[in-house]
Amino acid sequence: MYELIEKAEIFNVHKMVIKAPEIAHSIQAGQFVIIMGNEYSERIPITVSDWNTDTGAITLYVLELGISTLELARMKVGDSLYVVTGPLGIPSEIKKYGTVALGGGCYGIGGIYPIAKACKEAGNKVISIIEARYSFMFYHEKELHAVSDQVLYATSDGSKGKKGKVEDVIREMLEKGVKIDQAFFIGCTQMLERCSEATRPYAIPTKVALNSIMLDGTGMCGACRVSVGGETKFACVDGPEFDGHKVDWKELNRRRSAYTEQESVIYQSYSHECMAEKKLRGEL
Amino acid sequence: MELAEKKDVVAKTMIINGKTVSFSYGETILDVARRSGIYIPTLCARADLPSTGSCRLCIVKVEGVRGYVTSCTTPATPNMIVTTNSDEIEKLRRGILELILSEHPSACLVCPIRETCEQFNAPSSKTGRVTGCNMCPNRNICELRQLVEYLGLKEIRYPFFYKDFPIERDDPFMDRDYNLCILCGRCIRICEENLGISAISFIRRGHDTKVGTSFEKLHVDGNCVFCMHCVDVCPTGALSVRGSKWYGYPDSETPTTCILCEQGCELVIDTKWNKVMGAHPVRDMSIGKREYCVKGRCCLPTLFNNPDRLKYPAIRRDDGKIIYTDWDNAIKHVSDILSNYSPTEIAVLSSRHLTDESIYALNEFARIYAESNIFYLADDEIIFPNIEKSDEIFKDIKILYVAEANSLTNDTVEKFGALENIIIQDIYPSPLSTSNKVCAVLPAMVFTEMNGTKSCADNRRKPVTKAAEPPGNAIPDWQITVKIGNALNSPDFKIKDFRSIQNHIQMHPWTITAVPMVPKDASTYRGFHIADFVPDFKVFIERRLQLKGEVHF
Repeated sequence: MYELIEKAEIFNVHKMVIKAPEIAHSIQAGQFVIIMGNEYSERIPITVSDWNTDTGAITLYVLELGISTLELARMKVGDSLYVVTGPLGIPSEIKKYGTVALGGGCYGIGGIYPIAKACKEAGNKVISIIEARYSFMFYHEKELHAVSDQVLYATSDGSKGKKGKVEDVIREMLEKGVKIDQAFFIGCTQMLERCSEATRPYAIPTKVALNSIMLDGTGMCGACRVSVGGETKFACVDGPEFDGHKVDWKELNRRRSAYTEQESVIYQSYSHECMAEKKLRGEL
Repeated sequence: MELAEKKDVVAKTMIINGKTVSFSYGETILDVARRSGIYIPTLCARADLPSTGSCRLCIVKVEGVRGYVTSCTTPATPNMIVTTNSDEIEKLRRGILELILSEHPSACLVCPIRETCEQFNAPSSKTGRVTGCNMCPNRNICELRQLVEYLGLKEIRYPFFYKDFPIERDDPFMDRDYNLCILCGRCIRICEENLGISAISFIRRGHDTKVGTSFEKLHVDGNCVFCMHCVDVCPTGALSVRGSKWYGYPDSETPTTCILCEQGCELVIDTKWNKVMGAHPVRDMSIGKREYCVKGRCCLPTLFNNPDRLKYPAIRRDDGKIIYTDWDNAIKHVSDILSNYSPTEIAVLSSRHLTDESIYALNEFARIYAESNIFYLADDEIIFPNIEKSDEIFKDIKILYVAEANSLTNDTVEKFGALENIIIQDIYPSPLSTSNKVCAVLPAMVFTEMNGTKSCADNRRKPVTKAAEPPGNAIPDWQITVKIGNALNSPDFKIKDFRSIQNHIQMHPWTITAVPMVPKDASTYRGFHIADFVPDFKVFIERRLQLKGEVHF
């Protein structure tokens, strides 16, 4: 039903272009979808990086981080996903801020693209900062350049742009006196936390897209709850974007690792459709 | 080493780092240094492998010799003066390590926020393609990381070259990511020299060089036996066992004996969250040089953590319904039923896969309460350890106490003309447990969950040690038998606890030696086909049968 029309791997980040016209027609920057590879998969919330209302395709960047995402990673063009639910979550608040800095790492490189695009269209000066371990791990760059006034890079080995992380680039900019009116960050929890700490001394309004464990994505189960400024919020219906300076990161990280045992044990009984199995059935 | 034992070789001495040490003929500088407690860093050399001198990290200075020599391949000679450590040597080693790391994803190794990142990513994130330590399954035992620490490497001057090989996940049990491989050749050497299998070798040339099978076939299509010794010796995360790679540090490592067959291989069980997460040989394999089989090395976690395991005792009520109950109730129910029958009407089906204690307990139970009507089933063959018995006894049997329900085929059941009741003591549900003759199903432990001993093919009794918690209320087989035996209240039934069983075994060893052994090629555990519970094992067996018409472990 939700056909996979394009698939590529960029070093553990899997680009998946899926036919989902209803979603492509109604989605806005900052929203996400929940996908399932098959009927036994976990439900995985994924930020939508791009969409095309003409072809009805949405572009997702999925990080392989467990069995369910492994199943997604092993899907091929022409395969169908079992579920693509969305758009979910509150869209990013887009207005004329002035200068907007967007930071993305891992799947967040694709994740910040629609927000950058919308901010640009709203007349902002857009500075995109992306990080990766090595220069060859960047993706979606051309598109990002097209909607950014400036694209800055950070790599762990220093092979492109600044040696370090997004936080180091932000810190350097702020130290130099670059005026930033609004910051958006998408990436792993640790990156979000560290980037928020970098903007805190300068009191820059900072939005982070949280990635807590999520089930239904409509506010029913409460699995995704996070503490923001002492209040319990649901990442799915109150978020995914929250004030980065108010998030209880410790709690979020603990909650995210609640199922480490089950996530590890499942690898013992998992058997993917391997090539050996296909050969066995004479399909190869 | 063998020559050194000859009497005519006089002990020779050499000097390492100013310390006079003796050596034997045939030892390398590395051997002598290790024996004398002097650390020399190595990546390709291992005590249990022949040395090739390929990584060159073990270089040392030998007085009178130009340049530096690799200590793993240079034989010790009398009066040699060796320096293993100096600023110059450290600098050279750092340079060598930098070059090795320029082809291994190493950004995390020298990253300033590495520590906080690894705390955050503990255990590693479960990625498909590893591009950094925070996503690497081998992080906790990585030898590259240990060397980076030891040599204090803070920076890698060379640009990183990513080989971009596809991730190999199409074989049963095994994941391979040769982008992490440093070409030390340990896997090739252990496969070829120690095991004599040679399933893998260096293939291609130059930057493209990698480890692989001939014609780059799948391992399952070649002659790999999936002993996973290549994984055990790999200093990086290039090779891993798919089912047991993401749990990080185990809570405990317990040496025990694998009793899946008569070989009784020594295994170390990795335990986390009270579950068996992995099984591997002792780290220094020169101690027990033996080829492990795919069953013990790869199948145990999947086989024993299966959610279908029997967890609680169940009994059949008078209305015919099977209900869960506690042990006291279950034992009372079983002993009430048993006491209705005379010894000639009771028989015991034991299992070859039980520990000696459990076998002895069943044996003793049969001797006291069942006229020694005890038998085993091995590959559809009925074996009576008591040679006076034959399947003639079956026609009188009215109640059967079964410790291996799945091997009881319909054909065998039909031999029991007058069967009224069956007591099952097992680890998994079986087709038999749905029979309306079953009056109780008692959950037993598997061998990683209990203490005991097992007599093996080399006539040795080997220790079986508890490594994990059982599911639900399962207890050891011997304990179930002792409980039932004591509830029946015969003064002749003298075994009360583990200690008393062990004492009895000492006195009556023939009760154990009469038990048939499980052949090495068996693919069952307690009557269950391992392939039914371990999907990858099924793929392995079926593919091998398809290609070669036979399968060996």
